[in-house]
Amino acid sequence: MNLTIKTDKLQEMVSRSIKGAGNNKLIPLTSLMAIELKANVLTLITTDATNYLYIRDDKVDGEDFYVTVGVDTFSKLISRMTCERVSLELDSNALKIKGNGEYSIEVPLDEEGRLIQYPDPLAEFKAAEHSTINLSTVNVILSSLKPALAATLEVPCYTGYYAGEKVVATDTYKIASMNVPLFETPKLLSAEMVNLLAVMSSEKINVELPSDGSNVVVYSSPDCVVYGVAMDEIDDFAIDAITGLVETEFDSMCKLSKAALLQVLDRLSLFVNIYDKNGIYLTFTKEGLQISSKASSGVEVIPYNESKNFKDFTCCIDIEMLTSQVKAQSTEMVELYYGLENAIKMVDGNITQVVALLEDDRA
Amino acid sequence: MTTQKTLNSIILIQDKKVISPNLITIREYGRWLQEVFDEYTCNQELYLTSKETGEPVLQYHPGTKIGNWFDRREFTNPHMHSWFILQPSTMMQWLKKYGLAESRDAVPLSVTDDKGRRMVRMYTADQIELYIRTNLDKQFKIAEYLAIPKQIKVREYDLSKIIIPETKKHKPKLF
Repeated sequence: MNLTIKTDKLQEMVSRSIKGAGNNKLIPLTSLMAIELKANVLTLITTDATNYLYIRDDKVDGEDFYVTVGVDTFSKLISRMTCERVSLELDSNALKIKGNGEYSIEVPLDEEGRLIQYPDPLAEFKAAEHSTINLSTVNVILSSLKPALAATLEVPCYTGYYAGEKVVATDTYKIASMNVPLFETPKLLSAEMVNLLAVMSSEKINVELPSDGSNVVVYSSPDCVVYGVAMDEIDDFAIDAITGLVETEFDSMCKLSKAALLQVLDRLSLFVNIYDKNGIYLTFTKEGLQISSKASSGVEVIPYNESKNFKDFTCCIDIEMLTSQVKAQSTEMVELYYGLENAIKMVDGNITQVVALLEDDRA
Repeated sequence: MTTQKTLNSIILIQDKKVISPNLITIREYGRWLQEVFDEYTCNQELYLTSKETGEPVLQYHPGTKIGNWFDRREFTNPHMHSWFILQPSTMMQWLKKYGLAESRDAVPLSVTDDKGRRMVRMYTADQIELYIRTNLDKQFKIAEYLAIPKQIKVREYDLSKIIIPETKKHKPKLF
């Protein structure tokens, strides 16, 4: 069995395919890649044990071919090839790669000494519902909402994105909510699944839901398919409480330069010591927003570009949380709402961010 | 080698140099062992060489297995702001995700306390996994008690592969 393909084409396919490999040492399959050529369609399959990524090209010459190979060595070798064409050949228990010379990678075998057959859940998938989402929406989710996701597993549902009439990410200390509907029946999408969608090549991504009502979601573009499984814990996601917080009215608003704000936070971070527990003080004055360290060892004032219903207000906030949310904004101006004791709000177009305030020990 | 407790975790120190990240569950400890030690020593247990644990209630004799620290330690983090009861379906999703169980397996959530009374305890997903690891995963089986600690050779390891839960003490939540 062998196939021959242009090197740059294979390099492009492999560089996208490795993003689907989970490389989890506890699950060997996640370190493997399936390479299949059937009826001139080349498919590379990788998985993180939950989601499967299929990268395809439908114009590849060669005999029908199938092999499962370790992702690490294969992808690194392909990325370093400089020849014009590369051929892959299966020779007993090794994959021979010919291009710049000849390389041989031993392929893994199962307990009975046979070549491993990669699972192919897509083969049994039957679509019942169809819709589309935009790649640009996915990119906004990854740039603007992802920083609000939970990074730890204390409450597992918050490691995923709530996707219903809006898309929400939260770790219970900060919320990022985008007013873009994705699914009629809400789904909880894992961070890994959404990361894979960035590999899609076309703006319009087809979305299919199964007929059996399971949590499977299949996304596809002309040369790429993601077979994903939504998370089970959607019932734990406190969407009503989150929506209430996002829609809370604030008395006062100001607009500040994002660049100026980030620069101040960057300088001030040098003066936040370990006993401050990341806390800094925000004081809204008539002249502008004063930001200071707890020990008063650093203080700066950022003038407002705009201010509505100004009121004197001071609070304590986590500098790292505030910085991550400001960085996630896409515009040059930060629209900041203040006046409530427990949180501040920032609005960036159709994205609303809410950040919890810390207890103010000056009170 | 001495141990020092930080909040609800331990770190391992050798010759006054910290050689491990904060380890909270035995899963993290076992994973760190795999990353750091070679195949032979990986199957051994590390031992305490002194009583310096930093807390009066933890009195361990030299030669005590470090794994015991996890067995007797209260698993609950008093600084956690929320508790939840795992439903069987959620628990099974976690077990399947970590390759520890198939659909037909079942693990009880009820435990027996010191006085022999049966009670239902609330556990996080990490604690369930810790329980499963301790009881089912033979790779991390605790070695036999030895009075003299073994010589351990340490090589470089990648900390980013070890998951360390963040401590969110003193931070009020939004909901």
